[in-house]
Amino acid sequence: MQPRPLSEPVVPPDSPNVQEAMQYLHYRNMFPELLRFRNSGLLKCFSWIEDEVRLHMEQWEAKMAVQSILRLIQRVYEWFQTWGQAPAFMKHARGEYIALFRARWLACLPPSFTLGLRLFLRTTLPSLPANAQLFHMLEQLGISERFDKTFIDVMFDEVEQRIMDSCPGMWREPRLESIRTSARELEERWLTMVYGHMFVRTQNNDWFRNAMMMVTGRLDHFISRTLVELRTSEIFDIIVDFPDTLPAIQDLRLCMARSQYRPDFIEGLREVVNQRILQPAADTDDIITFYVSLIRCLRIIDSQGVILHKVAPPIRKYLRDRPDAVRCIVRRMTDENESFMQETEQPVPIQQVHEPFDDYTDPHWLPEPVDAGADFRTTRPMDIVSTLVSIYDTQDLFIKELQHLLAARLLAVRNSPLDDEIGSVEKLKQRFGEAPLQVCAVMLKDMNDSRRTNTHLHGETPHPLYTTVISRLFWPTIQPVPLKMPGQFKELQDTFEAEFHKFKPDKNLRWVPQLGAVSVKLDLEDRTVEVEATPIQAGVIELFSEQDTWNVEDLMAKLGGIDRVLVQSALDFWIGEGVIKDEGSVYRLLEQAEAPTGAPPRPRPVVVEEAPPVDEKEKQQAEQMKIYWQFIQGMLTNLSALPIDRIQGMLKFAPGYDRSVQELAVFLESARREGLLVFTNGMWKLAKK
Amino acid sequence: MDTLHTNSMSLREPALKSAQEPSSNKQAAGSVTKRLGNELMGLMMSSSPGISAFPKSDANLFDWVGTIEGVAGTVYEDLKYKISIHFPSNYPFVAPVIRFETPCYHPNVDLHGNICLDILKDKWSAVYSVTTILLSLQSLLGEPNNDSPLNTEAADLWSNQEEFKEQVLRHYQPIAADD
Repeated sequence: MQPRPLSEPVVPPDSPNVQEAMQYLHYRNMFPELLRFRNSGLLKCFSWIEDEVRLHMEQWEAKMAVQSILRLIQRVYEWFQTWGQAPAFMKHARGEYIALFRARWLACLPPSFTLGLRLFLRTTLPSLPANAQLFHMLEQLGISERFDKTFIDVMFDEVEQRIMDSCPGMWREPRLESIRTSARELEERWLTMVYGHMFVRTQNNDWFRNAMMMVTGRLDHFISRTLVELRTSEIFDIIVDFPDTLPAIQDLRLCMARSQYRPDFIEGLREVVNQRILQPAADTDDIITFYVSLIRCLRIIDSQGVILHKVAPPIRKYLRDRPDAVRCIVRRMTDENESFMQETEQPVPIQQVHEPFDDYTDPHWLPEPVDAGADFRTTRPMDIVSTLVSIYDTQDLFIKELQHLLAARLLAVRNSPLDDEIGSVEKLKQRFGEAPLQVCAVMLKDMNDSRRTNTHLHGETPHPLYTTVISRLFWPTIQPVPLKMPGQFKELQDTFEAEFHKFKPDKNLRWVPQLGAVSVKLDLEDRTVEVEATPIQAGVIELFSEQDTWNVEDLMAKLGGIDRVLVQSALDFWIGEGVIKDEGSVYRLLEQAEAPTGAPPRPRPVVVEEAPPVDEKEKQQAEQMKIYWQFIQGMLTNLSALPIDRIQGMLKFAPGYDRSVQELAVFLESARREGLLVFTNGMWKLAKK
Repeated sequence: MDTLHTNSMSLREPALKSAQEPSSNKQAAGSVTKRLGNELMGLMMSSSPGISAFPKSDANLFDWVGTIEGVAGTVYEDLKYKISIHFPSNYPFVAPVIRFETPCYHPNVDLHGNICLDILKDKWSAVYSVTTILLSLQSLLGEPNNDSPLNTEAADLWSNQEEFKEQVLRHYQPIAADD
């Protein structure tokens, strides 16, 4: 009756003499005694199993080979079976035996067993059907019951593994559905295998189904969470590659239907934005591209815009501080190929963008999501252009920039039709309204008028001089360079001017001689050179037709006293063309081409592209200050002397005044130094003329 | 009971009315303020020589102070006149009230500074603005309308420019703070 070591031969319990002994005991009604005897023996001998466990677990901890776990289980099962053999009449005490054995042996397992079991079970996954016997053992030994969490974890591990194998970087095809299917299939196989016996035994299939459902639910959560985590870590590239990554975004949308992942997603997104986008090194254009993609992605993931509302403000604020952001946006708005300009949505007039919006007739109306912030407002459905424009509080900036851009483009256009420009202005009118774009309309009209004027003055035949007459008030301020064109250019200019005055006597004509382009054909002794040049370059070479050598100072004087830099760069241009040679103090015209000397030809100097005739920010501010100065003059003329805080207060009548008192003080002080103001007894007044 | 009831009704009604009125007034005041703001901007940007005006304080856009300089070549050359401009709350449908604060010896200006100018009276139109009024006043100085004088003595004297100028200078008081 006492347990023995496995190595000793077992006395078969049904052998005749054992039967006889049992009969005797049965007769004497000594079963309780016998049972107690057996149990105490079991407890006494359990140290053997403890040794066995220790041995195998040491192996496991040393080598981390899952084989140790398998051997341990097989071994213990052997003990379990052997000691469980009992005479037939004791079968009803088997339950007690199992409980006792399980309790003892599970108690002596070290904590590291959990991990071992988990890893070991993973290895059984590929060949589940072949392991039926093993799961029977696990169930018998009570492992299935005791370590049920581990069994579920194994499944999660496997699913996670599958996600990690198949998903990272795979953005161009939907993954979620296939993962869900494969996970469900795995789950079914696994649970049936692991717990199948148990439920067959308990015959309680409803309970089984409920348990299955709970596990299925958890598994689904787990898939969503893992995928959201993965995609969050990849979100930057996904957004950058949008719309190619649309499937990945769709997956995210499905996963994010449960809003508990949203805080992490938002957090991750913000971090990425901070790290990758809001950096001085990031190009403004790239930031805008990213922002546009971000809007598109988030529209799919969260159509109500709560996530966008939480992520976008830093980007918008950052863009607002970037001086060239307006220019980038405007350039995109006028770019025919820009995708967001081709969106088919009805353009929203921009005035309405800042108004709160609630459409009570909308049948698809949804309440605000729970994670919407207090300042979240359902905004009018906006297209991307409106969203970009609404970064700024006013649209004036855009109109200004548009004006500059249009000016630069129009001045660069030569005789080709202006259809593109007209088209983009028309398109923008739908958004900004007719009135603000009046300026642009006038600019376009100037172009057409110029064409008509030229045709009128020169007839249909091509004329060497083509002029663009622009209305000063409607174009950005262009600072004329005091360039005086020499020789034939001057004649052309003068003739045109005379004719123009005849044609339009009420108009004043002021040249902006540095703009434009000249096709130059130089007839030299041995060759002709044909190039496109700027007026200054043309002027310089024209002077060389008068005499062969010039020094820079004379050229500057002859051209009306323009800057040395301009003359120098024009000379460099001609040197690059091989027409002029630098001879130290003077430049000489090369009537005969010089054979290339040993030294490589001087690299054609980089012509510093002149920025479009755009006012710098400071200039604009000075311009504004001029307006304020008018107001200050007005108030001081009529109210004689005022302290600075009264002036500051009164300046609120000036539109858009936003200077601080300190800034005003600086301004007033500089006006005083110029002798325009007097400061006495804490009061400012106008200086007497 | 009955009388008391009607009493309370009649008491309530005017109270209700007075509660409504300010709100509509306020709206009107808003649009007037806007118009005046625009006119101020227009005036500041027009830079017409010799005329200027500005609100007295930043709290009230309805009271302005103006300055008019006499045009060169007239008897008022080099003289500066202060005027006060008060805009009614239903401006621009009613002309602003303008008077000379600096004593002005002129056929169409009385001793209290009141002005007789058709566009400020029956010829007023909403298209006029502060700028146009100031320009009219400036030209009125040099070209008085002697047919409808407020100051008949001045009207009679107009033909004698030298003596007229003497009278102008005798009445004239330079603007105090300008010294």
